[in-house]
Amino acid sequence: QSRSVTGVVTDSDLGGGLPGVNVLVKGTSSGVVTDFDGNFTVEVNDGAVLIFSFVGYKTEEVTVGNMSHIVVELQLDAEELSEVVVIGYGSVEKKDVTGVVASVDSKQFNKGVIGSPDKLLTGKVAGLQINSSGDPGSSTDIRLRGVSINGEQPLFVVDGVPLDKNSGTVGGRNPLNFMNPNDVENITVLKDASAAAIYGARGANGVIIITTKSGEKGKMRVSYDGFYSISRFSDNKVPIFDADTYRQVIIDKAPQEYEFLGDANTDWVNEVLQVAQGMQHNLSVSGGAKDTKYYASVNYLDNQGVMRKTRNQTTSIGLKLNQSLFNDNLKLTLNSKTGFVKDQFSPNVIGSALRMDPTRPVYEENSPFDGYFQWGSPNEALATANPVSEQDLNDQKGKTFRSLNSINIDYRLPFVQGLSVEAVGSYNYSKGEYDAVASEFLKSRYINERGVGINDEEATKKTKLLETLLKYHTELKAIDTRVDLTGGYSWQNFRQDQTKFAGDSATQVNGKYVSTDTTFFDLAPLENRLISFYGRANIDIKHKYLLTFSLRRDGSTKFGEANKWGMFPAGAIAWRIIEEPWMNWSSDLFSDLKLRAGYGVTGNQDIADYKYNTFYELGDQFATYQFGNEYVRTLRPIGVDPELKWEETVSTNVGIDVGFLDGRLNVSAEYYIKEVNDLLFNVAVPAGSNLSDLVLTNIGKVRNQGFEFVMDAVAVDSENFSWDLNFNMSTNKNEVIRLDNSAFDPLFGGYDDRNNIINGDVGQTIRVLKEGESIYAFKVYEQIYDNTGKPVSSSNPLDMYVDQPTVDTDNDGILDSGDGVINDNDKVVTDSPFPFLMMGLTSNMRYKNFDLSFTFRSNLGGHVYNNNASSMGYFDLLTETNVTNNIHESSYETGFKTRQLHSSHYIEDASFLKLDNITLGYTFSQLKFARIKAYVTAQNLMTVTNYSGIDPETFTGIDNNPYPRSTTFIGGVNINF
Amino acid sequence: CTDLDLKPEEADVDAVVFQDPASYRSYLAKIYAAYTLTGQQGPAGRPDITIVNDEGFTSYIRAYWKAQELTTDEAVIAWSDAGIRDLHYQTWSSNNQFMQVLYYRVYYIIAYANDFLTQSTPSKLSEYGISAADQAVIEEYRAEARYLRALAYWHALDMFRNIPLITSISTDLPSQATPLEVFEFIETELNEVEPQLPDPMSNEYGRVDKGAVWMLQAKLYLNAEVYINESRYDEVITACNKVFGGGYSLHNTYAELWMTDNDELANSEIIFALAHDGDKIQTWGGTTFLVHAAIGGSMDPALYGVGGGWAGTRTTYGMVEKFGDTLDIANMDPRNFFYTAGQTAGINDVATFEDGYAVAKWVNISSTGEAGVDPDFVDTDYPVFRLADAYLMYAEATLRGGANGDMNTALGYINMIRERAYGDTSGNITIGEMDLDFILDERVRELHWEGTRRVDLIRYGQFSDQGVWPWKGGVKEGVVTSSHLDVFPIPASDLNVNPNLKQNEGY
Repeated sequence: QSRSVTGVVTDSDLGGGLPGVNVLVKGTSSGVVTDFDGNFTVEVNDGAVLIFSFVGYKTEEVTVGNMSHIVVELQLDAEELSEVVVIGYGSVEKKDVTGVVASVDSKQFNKGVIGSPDKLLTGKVAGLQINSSGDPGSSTDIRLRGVSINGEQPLFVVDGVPLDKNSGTVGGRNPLNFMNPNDVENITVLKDASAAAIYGARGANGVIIITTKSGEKGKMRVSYDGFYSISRFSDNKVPIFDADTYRQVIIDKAPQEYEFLGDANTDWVNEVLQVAQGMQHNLSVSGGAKDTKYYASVNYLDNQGVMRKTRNQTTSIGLKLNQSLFNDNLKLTLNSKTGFVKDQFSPNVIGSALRMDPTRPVYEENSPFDGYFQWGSPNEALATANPVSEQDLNDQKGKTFRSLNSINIDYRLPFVQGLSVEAVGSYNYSKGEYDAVASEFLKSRYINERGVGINDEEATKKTKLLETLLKYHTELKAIDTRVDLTGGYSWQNFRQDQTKFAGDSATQVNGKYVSTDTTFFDLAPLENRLISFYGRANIDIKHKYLLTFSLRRDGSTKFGEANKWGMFPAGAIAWRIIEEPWMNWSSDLFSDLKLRAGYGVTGNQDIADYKYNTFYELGDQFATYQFGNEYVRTLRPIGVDPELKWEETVSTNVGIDVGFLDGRLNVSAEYYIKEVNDLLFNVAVPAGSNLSDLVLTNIGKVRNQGFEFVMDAVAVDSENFSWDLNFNMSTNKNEVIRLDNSAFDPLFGGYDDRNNIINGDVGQTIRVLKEGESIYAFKVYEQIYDNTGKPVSSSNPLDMYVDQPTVDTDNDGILDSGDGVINDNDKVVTDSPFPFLMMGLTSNMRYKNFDLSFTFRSNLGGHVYNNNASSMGYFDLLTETNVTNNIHESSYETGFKTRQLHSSHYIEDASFLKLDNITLGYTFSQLKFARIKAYVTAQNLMTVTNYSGIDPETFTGIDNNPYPRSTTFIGGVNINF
Repeated sequence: CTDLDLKPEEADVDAVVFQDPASYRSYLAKIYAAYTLTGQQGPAGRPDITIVNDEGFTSYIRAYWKAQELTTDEAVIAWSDAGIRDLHYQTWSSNNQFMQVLYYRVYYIIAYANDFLTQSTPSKLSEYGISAADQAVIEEYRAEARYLRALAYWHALDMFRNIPLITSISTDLPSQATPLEVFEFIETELNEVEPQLPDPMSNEYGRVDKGAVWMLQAKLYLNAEVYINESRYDEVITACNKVFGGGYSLHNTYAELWMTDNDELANSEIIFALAHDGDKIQTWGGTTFLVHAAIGGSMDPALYGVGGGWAGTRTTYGMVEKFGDTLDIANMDPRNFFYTAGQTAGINDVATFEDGYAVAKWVNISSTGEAGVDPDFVDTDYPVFRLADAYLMYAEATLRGGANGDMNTALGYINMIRERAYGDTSGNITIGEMDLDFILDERVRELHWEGTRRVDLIRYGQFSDQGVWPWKGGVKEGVVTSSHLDVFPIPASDLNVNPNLKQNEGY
């Protein structure tokens, strides 16, 4: 007896009807597909069973019985969803992945105040370190699988378009701030060379592929996310003396100054900080019909920093349109992501707030410095400037506009089965403006009578990209083999134009400061181009043996004729043991078992342009030389190595993937070795043999090796309670193998890290590059301790520091004796700043309508140089620069009278455990018209560490007044209509 | 499309750049500028030397002055930059950054001069299409480039002694020459460029002429015993006599030699000066360093024409004594610039600016009391050579047995210097008082803080194993040190990459 049954299929997660669901009558071949609203009508016999299936959802079976209307709610199948993994220039099924690819989708992203997509990943991926300061909308430093020397940042690819993330932005903090993090669907990290080599010369530090959200077929979906946040400085452990204690310190150590102390009680650190507020409103609309899908969003993020006068405001607009034509044979995608970012900056005054005498007031009557207390007499010029005045009297603003637009055409060619052609064109434009006004009452300006100062910068960047690629898929049934071939061509041109000027004695005209005493700086435009050819073959034999080969040939304008083109090959194999017939016994135990091995060569070309030829460049108008009455601009050649070429990273990886318990527990383990050969390094050349003291050349070799372990578990999965856990851990050991063609003078102390100057003195460094040591290990004097464990403090350095062997007394070529003098030769290279072990744990729990998630992160084995203690922990500072200064509390532990910047005492263990993020949410599922989720989040709630300073987590291992990290509390709501 | 031809827009390769005759002038200006500026951007940015961290340190004059003064009784510095204290304590190592700067600066200038000479050979000029008239001008530039190279080699010989002698750029590993080879190279070069350079005081300001050649010859020969163990005092006197015949004269007011208008007022006495300008020739080194570093304590920076002091350099009791009774500042030799208010004569702590008298010799004000154009960057030019030094060298060479010298003439020269200082003949000395020790002390009074003290002390054997002044050897009272310190170490960074080099003895 056949009759007609109607029904509706809805989405368990989002509510709403689900279109396109296959409704099949079990045991027959008859069935229907749901319409746009999820409705269906099907003819059935009594006792029939209907099967509802849809990609990405768990299949449901319903016995019709005597029902005439059936309502079915389909559950999302998390496992199904992650089945397809994006790799460069394409995607593969997860089970077919041969390289080391970590995929994180929007459900697993970090929550909270997040200004740029890169921050969504912190702590989520084994071996990926993402560091950002507490500055609102701050930039990130990213490091994947260890440390290198040149440009460690991975390549970012957004919907197929490689971005120039590395180059700094004028007027902004993080070049990725233009992108709305809410638009991101998934982020995939290509970790090993076998996966990243398809990006050739830019793949050495890994590739981070961002896929943004698209509309889906069905009813229009409207979604709103909003939150309000409050942040405060995360630690009260400021290691300086309060005013009362400070007075005692003065009585104790500089009694002659006591009578000159002020009578205020100022907490300078508190004065320069604020409780910061933030908010976000994000609205997205998406949907689609049969051939057209759309997604549009607008986001507003306003984020103050805990340092006064710091703020980041972003308005971003995201659009994506997918159009299918000719029976899905032609697919068009238009994608546009645009951001308007406003930044307000404050000079980093933490250092001076720590140092400023707490007995002095913030304001002082009749002060010529616009009412601010200031050490202002002529012989106090070097004394610390009042940090509050530095904040108030500087007005530093930035404005950036960035727009990434692309069009993607994918055409399945009609005449050859399995062949398609794809073309991508993209134009990425950004304009940044920086506008600073410095009051004439700022200490430095007032005493030099410079008047109001203005400082303006503007930079425009344009990146054009054109790619075409062919894809071919075929199945060789006879040998049960599937082959996917991809080949392409890419052209990318980057250009930056920049202007900059500064002026004194500015006056206000129509609300804007202008100066007649203005200086323009010459800033040469930057331009470089990359042209590439690439190909890849993915071969799947009997579903058991997976092979991937890729080859990329890159041409770059950064190198000379002989070395413009570089070749980057890679290969990987995987063996799906689980598919072997002799593994059948284990089907109850294993759901997956796969061995992988990969090898590849990637490149790094992250160096300045035109370093391959001796170009002669003119100096600017402030660096002339006088011939008679003429100031002649100078012409200088630049010393180069004409043989300059790419840096090459050769990496090898072996890994295993194991799934247990029907996929509820998945484990992966990897071992990798990454060696940078032909490392580009500014090496000392034999004096007189080139036109410079250091020349950039391919000379070094560094090695990173480590072990990674990832575990994903569905601990509980029932109707009322579910609990997912993700744990990742990685180790890394790095070593500088070679840096120069050295004859090796045993006394040579290595190359100072000139990029990271420490506080406390002009131009001092603490990290060094030396063969045989960790990259950027600390170089210090070895502190001598007395029998109470206290560092020895003495006017004779020989009492304080170990006189290292620097003399060869018996002429056997081994330094065996001290020389009775403590000087630069007695510094030794010691600990590494970088952690040996990094771990991340993410937990997501749901109980009925409540959900709770948190992320813990821990680094072990790294070291940090406590630069706040070293630069301020000595008693002479109390009266330095002709005024009274606050000092670091550690001075009483060390007893140091004078500054000991290079004592090993200041190198501390930087291990920590942090609770990065914890969120509690409640979903109101009863409502008809909408689904509402309300949540509270705390970011950076807790740090456990033995480090004596404020925050052990630094990217460089140097703790020197970074922007203070904050703890943030967020209350938000998410509404889906 | 595989077009990968991009070129910088504000720079070009030699084949293009040197088609323009103005490029040779700009390149020559760079070789001069490299003696005091630090890079292509004033005051800092796009540095020349990058092996040390702070670009300001890499100014040749700043580094040279430190090496010649901080290592002696004439100056101490309060700062604690890595290795700076080692200069005064005479405990420097082969990793000392201030030694590194000097060494690499010397070879930087040598490399530029070598490249300039390669790019400007007559055949190259013709190849680049330079006109005959321009070629003649460039020929003069070549002589100057060779002179500047010889001057750099003199500094290298004086400070590092066993050094590579390089006359063209090559990737071959340079090897060490003997001091005699370097000495003879400088000697020959000076002899060859002398006729090609303009007559005294006839070149453009800021550029060298024959006078500079003669001064360098006098310096080289005066120290020949130190360099090559040979006395060449006759040649000192010959060179000085050429200077005296060059039309130079002492400027009437001693203090104006270190003021912003020294280029106009005192150019009859200054034989070769490195130009500075607060607007157009900006550096954190050069005279900007000399003026700022000397101001601290209760000194009012505005009186010296700058916005603030850097509270660094003072002098030791050892130098103060040379000027007379230390308790009677008012009646000391008038050439002193001691600032004593709030300062102690002795030094308990090198790091305390108030320990030791300040010396306000270098200033950023003009003879009429006007401050320089900029409170940060100083206008005052740096005299490399001046006439008074020639008078002193003549007297010393005569006293050391120079056969063509005359004692009475020498006395006359010495008394000219002293009359200028005292304003009358009250400071004049007799022939009996004029001995070698007097000359050494008179050089302190006349030339202190002008970067000549270390060379003088070594010539007199007083720098290391003899001669004691406060904090020499790192001890408050001062101690004698090892004689190997008369020569600086070759930087470890160069030894590390050039196996042909051997470290100087004792390091």
